Amino acid sequence: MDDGTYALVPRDLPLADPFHVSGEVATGFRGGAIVVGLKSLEAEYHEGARMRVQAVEEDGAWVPLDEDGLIAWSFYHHLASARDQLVDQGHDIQPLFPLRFAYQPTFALDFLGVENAAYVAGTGSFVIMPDAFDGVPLAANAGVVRHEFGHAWFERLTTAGPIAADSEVDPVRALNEGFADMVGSLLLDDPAFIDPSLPLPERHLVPEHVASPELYASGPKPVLSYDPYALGSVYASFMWNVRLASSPEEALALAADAVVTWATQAADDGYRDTDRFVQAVLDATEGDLHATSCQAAGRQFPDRVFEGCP
Amino acid sequence: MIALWQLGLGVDATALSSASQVELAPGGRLWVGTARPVAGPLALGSTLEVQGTAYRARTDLYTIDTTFLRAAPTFDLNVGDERACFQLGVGPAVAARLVSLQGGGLDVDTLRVEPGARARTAVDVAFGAHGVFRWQVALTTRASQLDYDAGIGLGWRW
Repeated sequence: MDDGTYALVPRDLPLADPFHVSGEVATGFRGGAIVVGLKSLEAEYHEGARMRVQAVEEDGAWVPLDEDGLIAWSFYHHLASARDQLVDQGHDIQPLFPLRFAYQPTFALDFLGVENAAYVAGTGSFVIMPDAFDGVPLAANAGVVRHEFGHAWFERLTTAGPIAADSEVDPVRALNEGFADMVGSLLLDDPAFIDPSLPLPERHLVPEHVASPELYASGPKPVLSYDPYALGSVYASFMWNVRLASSPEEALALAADAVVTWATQAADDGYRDTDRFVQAVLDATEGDLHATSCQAAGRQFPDRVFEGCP
Repeated sequence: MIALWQLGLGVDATALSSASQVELAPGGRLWVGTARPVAGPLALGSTLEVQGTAYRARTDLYTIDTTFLRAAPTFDLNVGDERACFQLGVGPAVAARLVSLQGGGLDVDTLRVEPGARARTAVDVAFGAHGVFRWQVALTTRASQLDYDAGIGLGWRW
């Protein structure tokens, strides 16, 4: 709903084939497998069977007859809404579509199954897993869907041109998560969009997060030993402060442009200095917004000196 | 020789296809069957099964209650004797699914009747003068879906 709450309400869905959950935005699949090529080490999604949503017409609206159908249609609606918002704001995201989403595929690495909704880098595919919470299912959470779409957009921003930021480098993972949170929070204008599904105060963007040396990755580590969300939340809450001094649309545009600037400039250090993203945001601001953003950067990145800020 | 009539009651683990996965739920099953020896260890027969299950999906936003009932007559090929018998059956099936979805001002109750076909395989092992232990697995089509069930049960034959 517009006020940030959730309810079962009729929605217009741009679905060409509601039964199979397929349309201009995405196509849903049941199962399938995420596999990683032994030589390429690139992830691929091997499609499973098509989804089959049984529904009944009620007062002019179609109502799915099981929870999975309800979640699949909700996910599709949120994805379509995110696309429409971003297109309206002038962002070039149309080439990303159509996407795919897979309900409970098999993973080569089972631990990834702890994510209830995820974007699988390099595949143009989202993964939805069953969750066991009482709140709004994560795949039906408007902010979570936008967050996951943010990963797809981040991938496009950092790889569409002659850029090849390695999303497996830990600092890049942090900025990736932070950017995804920016997409979720700024498109909904909600700094705590996960809450209807799962109370996660540590992911709230208010009060602001502050960077400290231990949040930065130091050298290669096993994937699971680094928490990209902690530093990512610092970046996202910095952009929330920028939003408070501007607008959600302006802040998101600044963030997207800054990701491209960062990725273009950062090749020399293997994309490790993700604070250059903040510098890129500051460089793109002027006047009062620049002053306010510099103040926020000073508070939130106390060990960093940013050029152009007093 | 294979018993001519059998009446049984069992419990099942059912996996009913949903839009994108299967709903696992416990269920119950009642069956009545008959068989007529034709040659050696072979017998032909038929079984009528009635299965039922119910499950709930609930979040703070909605509750979806599903009550499911299926009747399936199968035509059976039996191989064995009075002590142990292997059974293979196929036949039509009809399912009735009552779905109640409530939440956020929405209150929908709907009953769907869905035809299909069922194939099952069972093993009967006798105990006492009339008792039968049955182990069974089956798959059943239901409209566009495919369901699975496996169960055990106790029967009385005469």
